[in-house]
Amino acid sequence: MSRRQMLARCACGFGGVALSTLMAKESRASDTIATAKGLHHEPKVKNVIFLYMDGGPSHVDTFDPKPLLDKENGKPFAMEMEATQFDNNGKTLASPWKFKQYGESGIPVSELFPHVAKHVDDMAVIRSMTSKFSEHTFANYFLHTGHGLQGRPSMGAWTNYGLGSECDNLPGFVVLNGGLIPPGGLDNFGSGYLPASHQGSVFTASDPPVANISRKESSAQLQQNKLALMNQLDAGFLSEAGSSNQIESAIKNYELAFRMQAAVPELMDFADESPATLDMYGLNDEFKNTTTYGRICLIARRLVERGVRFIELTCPGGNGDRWDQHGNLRDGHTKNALTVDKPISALLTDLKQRGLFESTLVVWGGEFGRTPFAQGSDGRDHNPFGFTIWMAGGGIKGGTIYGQTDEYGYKAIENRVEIHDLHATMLHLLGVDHERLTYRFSGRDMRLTDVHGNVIRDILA
Amino acid sequence: MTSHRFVVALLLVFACHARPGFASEPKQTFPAADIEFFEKKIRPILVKRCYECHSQESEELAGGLRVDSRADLVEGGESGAAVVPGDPSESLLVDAINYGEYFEMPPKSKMPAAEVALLTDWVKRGAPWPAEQTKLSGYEKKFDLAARKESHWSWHPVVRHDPPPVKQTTWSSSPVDQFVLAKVEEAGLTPANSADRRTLIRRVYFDLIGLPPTPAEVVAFVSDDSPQAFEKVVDHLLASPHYGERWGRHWLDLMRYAESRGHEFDYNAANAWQYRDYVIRALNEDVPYDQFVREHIAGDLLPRPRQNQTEGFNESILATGFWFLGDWCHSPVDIRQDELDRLDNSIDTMSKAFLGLTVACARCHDHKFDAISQRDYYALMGFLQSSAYRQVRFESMDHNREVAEQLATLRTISAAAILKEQLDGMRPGLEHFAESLVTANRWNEQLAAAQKDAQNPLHAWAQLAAVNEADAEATATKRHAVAQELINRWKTEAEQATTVRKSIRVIVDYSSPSPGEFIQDGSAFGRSPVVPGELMLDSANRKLSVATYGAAKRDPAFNKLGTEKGTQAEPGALGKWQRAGQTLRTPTFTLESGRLHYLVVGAGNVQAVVDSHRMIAGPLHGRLVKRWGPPQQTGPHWVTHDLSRYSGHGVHVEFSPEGDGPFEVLMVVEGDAPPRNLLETPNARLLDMLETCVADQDDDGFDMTRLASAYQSLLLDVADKTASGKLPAAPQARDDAAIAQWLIENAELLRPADNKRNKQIGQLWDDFITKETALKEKVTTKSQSAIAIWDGNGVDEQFLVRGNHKMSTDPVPRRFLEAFVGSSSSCSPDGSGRLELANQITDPETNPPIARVMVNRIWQHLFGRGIVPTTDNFGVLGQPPSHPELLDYLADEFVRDGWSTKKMIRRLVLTETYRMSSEPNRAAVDIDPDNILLHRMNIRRLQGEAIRDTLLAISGRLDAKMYGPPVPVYLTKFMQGRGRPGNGPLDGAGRRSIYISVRRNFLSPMMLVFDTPVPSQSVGRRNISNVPAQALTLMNDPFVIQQSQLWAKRLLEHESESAERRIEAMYESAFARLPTKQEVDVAIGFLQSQAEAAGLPADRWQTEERLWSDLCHVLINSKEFIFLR
Repeated sequence: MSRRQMLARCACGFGGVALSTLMAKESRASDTIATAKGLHHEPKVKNVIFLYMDGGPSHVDTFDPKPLLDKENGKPFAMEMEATQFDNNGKTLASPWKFKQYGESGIPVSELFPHVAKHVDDMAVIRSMTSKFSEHTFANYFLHTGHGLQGRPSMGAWTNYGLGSECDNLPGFVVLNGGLIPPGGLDNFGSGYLPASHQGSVFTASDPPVANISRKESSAQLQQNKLALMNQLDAGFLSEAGSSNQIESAIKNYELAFRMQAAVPELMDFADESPATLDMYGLNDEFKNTTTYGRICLIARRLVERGVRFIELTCPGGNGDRWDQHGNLRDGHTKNALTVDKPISALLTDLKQRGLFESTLVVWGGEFGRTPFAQGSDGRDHNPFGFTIWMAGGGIKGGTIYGQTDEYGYKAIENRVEIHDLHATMLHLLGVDHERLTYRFSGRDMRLTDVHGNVIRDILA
Repeated sequence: MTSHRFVVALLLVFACHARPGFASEPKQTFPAADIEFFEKKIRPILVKRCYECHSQESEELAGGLRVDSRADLVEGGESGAAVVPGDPSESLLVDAINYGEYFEMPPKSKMPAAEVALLTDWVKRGAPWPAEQTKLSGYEKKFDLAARKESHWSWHPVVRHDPPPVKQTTWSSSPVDQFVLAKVEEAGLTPANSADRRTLIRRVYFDLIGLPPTPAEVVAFVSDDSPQAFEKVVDHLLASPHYGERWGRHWLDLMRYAESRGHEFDYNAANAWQYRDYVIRALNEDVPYDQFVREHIAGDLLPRPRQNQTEGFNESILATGFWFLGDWCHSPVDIRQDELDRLDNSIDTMSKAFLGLTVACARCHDHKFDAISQRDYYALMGFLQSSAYRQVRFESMDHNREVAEQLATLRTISAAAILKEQLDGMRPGLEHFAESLVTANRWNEQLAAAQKDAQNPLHAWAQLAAVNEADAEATATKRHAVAQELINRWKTEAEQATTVRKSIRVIVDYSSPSPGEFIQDGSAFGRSPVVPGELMLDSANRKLSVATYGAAKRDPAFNKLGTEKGTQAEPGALGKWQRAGQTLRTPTFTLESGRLHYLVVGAGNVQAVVDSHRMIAGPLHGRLVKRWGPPQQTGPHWVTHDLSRYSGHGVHVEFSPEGDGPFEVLMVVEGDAPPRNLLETPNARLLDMLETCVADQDDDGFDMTRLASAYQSLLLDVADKTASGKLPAAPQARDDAAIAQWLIENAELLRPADNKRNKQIGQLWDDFITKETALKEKVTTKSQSAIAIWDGNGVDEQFLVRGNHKMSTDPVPRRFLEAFVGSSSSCSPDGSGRLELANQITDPETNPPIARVMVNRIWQHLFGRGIVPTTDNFGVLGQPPSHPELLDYLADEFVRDGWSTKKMIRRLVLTETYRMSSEPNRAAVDIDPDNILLHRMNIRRLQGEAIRDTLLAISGRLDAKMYGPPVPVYLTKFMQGRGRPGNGPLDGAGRRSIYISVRRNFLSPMMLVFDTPVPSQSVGRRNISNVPAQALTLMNDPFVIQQSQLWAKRLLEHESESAERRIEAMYESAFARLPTKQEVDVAIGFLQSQAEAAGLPADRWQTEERLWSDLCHVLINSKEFIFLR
């Protein structure tokens, strides 16, 4: 066998399907705790799409109508006010938007979400969410990691740690960055003390979507030659060093990396999508942010198809300061809603059409809500005491309203839900008992839900 | 609900702690109707709403509270009594169901109003309950610190063990090897053979300096036949400055080192890199570890701080920066909660790094497993409550303090000499003062002024002298009346002043500060505050004066303090003015009304540090900072600072001057309004004099000559006292001082023209000014600054029930862990007491873990796994040591060796254990698959920093420059978000990775991929992950490609060399070994195929840089490159 033949044969090692699959499974087994079927019980869903509304959308302007605010608009706020971030509390502020009931369930939704509203019969609207923090960074960490400080594993990391990936050529936790990395930075998607393989991979809507994914060689052959030689050297090194799991996994990682090089461009290529689909997601819309968000919603569906376990979407910039309308509520919320409404509706429709809805959990929400009283004259400050999120998809009892805030929409007073409960419920639907998904660190068995969390049974189908 | 009730409730809890069992209150019987009410209305509510978590049925009893017996309710759970029968407003249960101050129960939904009303009514009726035997079960503390300490190895003293006997006695004479070998033999295994020299030198280079050996260094070692060959290599590496860079990075992991604060805007942690450089220097100098730790805990308080070897500056204080390397939030809504989280991070870092203990687990409850109580946690937190953050002028602080001392001494001596001349000159005049007052008209001008000025000592005289009635008798009568009137007015004013003073809360009065109240950063406020009566020299105007009030006064000698170029300003509002080295702070106190008033002179800045919050940026806490420009009037004026929003919070206030004008702080008070005229109270001595004078005379007469004599006696008395050195202490000092100052001001009138004396005084001034100018020039005005701790007054942290700051109780006296020093130990009340803490922590008798934890860390870095694998947790949930006797042996040796880290490393790498080959032993697969017994060396992956540094080293791009401001991190387009810094060069300017900036929200992707920890908490043991992103980085990252190209270029510079020789050189650089013949052939084959694939002529493979670059790239991607055998 000539040297060239030998190299050519080695090159075949890259992308060889059977071998690769085997290797991926092996390397997975080493740092996740997954078993073949679910982890602790039969799962309802396989994937999660978290539509993260950075900045904190106003619940009283979207999914939690409060007629009393109209009545008392401009009057001093009647309840005792907690400390706020800007300490510039104004008068009671009515919602600038009208609400209408939708679907058989008659769940009211404001004018901001005409498209999403059509799906209320598939949604469980939780109106009694609470958080512990009034600051973006703390609240973001809390929402993402169950802890208000930096450095803990994100829920996507926990999910992958628990269940492993079903995708052989893409990471199991993908963050689709619409343009805004939330306050607190990439650590919202970190793996904390869990193995680094579980951290979120941030994909942008641009091309290439992720760093170092494209080969730098001018032809595939040039790279394959390199990898072939590398493989040969590694084989020699491995036999010299004796069998070593570490070295073997490092070798295997090149296989996955190599496959990712091909899988990612393929993921981003919409050639196989119909014009109707592209249109539905808003890719032809005039408002540029709708197009951007539409793109990542479509990518989210494509990631679900590819078995990526946990997908988070962040919002595009340029709509005011995220959903964080400390002033100019009308303008900011209009743009933010316009950005996400149509694409999210399309995503839900598309998942249904393709039979993926029942195996996917879609969660919509921000890190907190907003005050029913004004900040200054035309804004709303942060409100962690009561706000709305909604869930849809497999295992969710559609057409449900769960919990309520007081008559002003200031604080949750019935069936209060904590972030830990949200996490517990997400894990439950994935077949994971949140109390049993643990990782030993810093002297104790850590959990996503710390020592808290109850599954919200009432919203389950 | 009052917090007063809470204290009572908690005292009960503590009482129960001390007194196991339950003393029931007298048995009560309730009317049948009440019982019926309870059974029908109340019990069902309790069952329905509370039993799930608070009864026998509960899986886990929440908060230690049961509601299924009355006695349990009355005794309560962890938070104290739940029900105070008859008193709903004092009952926590009622607070909770109303979603009150402390609890919100049931947690999910508030009970219907009707149920809340029923329960409230029931409590009001005395909480009727049917007769029951006793409490069913109560909240009992099961925490037994002594038993836990007794039962877990890591609390026990280090015991020196002799090495165990071994069979293979020829293997090594090193005790360390014998400890290891004994276990290997016991398991029926034999140790691996020695590694070959090339493997060994590569291993030891990476372990000790984090860089590969050069081919020449490899060759030198391989061909060195002397028995000391390896020792020579080791000693060379330990002496290399790169050693500190390598081991410094390990230390920075423990210290969650970063140069920004994270959170929303990722603000600068100003000048954090000075701490990084401190660490590198300290390791290179092999500062004894106990000293190193002492410096971390209390480097600011050491009696003799360690000096920088070349620059002479204060090194020790730089270590204290570690306390403040955590993340900071800029606008925390709950500022106290934020403080507790910040301090928690510092305690967590300190305890994990130095003690190997997870003390922070005891924040909300006694530690679940270890001998650490919740009180221990708050006892430690007090040390931090008593200390503050600052930017310290470490380069100039000690020097300037000396200058300040010398200035103070010079001024005292010179002022006394000048004063003596002046007073001596006045003496004759004073002795004839009465006469001159009565007869001479020399005083006319003075008297005209004094008549209008109540503060002028001659005011009384002027007023009385001005009385001029028709005849002498009438004049005398009138004078008597006027004198009496004056006396009455002065008395009233004095009383008013007393009342005013009583109506305010004096936080600090710098005219008579208590010990420890005068706290400054730097020396700009001199050796001590100016006290009334103190002599002051104004060299510009050649004027001697007597201070008539006390104040902390900025010395103009320090007017020009500034920072060295490149020093970062604080982020946010604090960066706008020059604070370092010229800041004065009050002790920490608790705000009551929150309206503070500062009596100051000149323009200045103030920061009220509430709950130790520093990051003033954004809207929320902007009012904590205040600045004021030069006032209209000279002299003291009030500045009001409204902090009523923060009433009840802990605060201290920091003052710093604005500009070069005079700046003084006289007093800090709290009250509704600033007290007016506090300094213009009547002079008690003059009042006294006048009163005596009047009392001695008839009602209808007043003899001015007697008043003149009284004046003369008073002036002589004050003159004598002034001359003799000290005027009486405050508060009388002010009265005498005012008179002394008047004397000096009027010296010209009181003494005859005396040219000789004038000349003498002039000479004294000349001397003084010459010396003062020389000293002023010695002041170092430019300095770098660094993060450091600043000792304040002693403040104990309150015990927080369940870690909840709304449930604070008694303060816990500051002390080290009870398991080490007992529960009754406490530290001295002056200052924080950190120095005592530092001494206790570094005393191996008191604190056995100190040496064990460190030698274990060293072991881990050299062998890939600690003797205790959980390097930061030696507690019950940590893993036990694999070789406990060896661990203690090493801990003991470490102390005996003078805590020398380098000696310990040297000792370990010279063992046979370290020199073993990593080749697996088939026999061991079942017996010791994880190599816990160390029957061979572990295979280890290089850390990210070492991989990057090696790329630079072999490409020739490595810039060996040490220290200094970080090189900005290279930002990819994926690194977005608020606070995005300026971009840095792709290759980090060729600097070693430890010098690349560490910005919390913009961490280097390459480092993250290779497991450099996120700097949020202390990490002693890095993850070792194995992810595709690592492969993608080495395959496609532009930096890696760039370095491959550079490397190829460098290789091809020697055109004369053959391809074979180049390939050999590549292998030597990358792997510290030569390629086999086959490997050379394969490489050449690759170059040829690559030329073909690139469409190049066949003969170009020998010289084409891009092909060689591809080969370099392959070697970098091969596993041999990133693994150490």
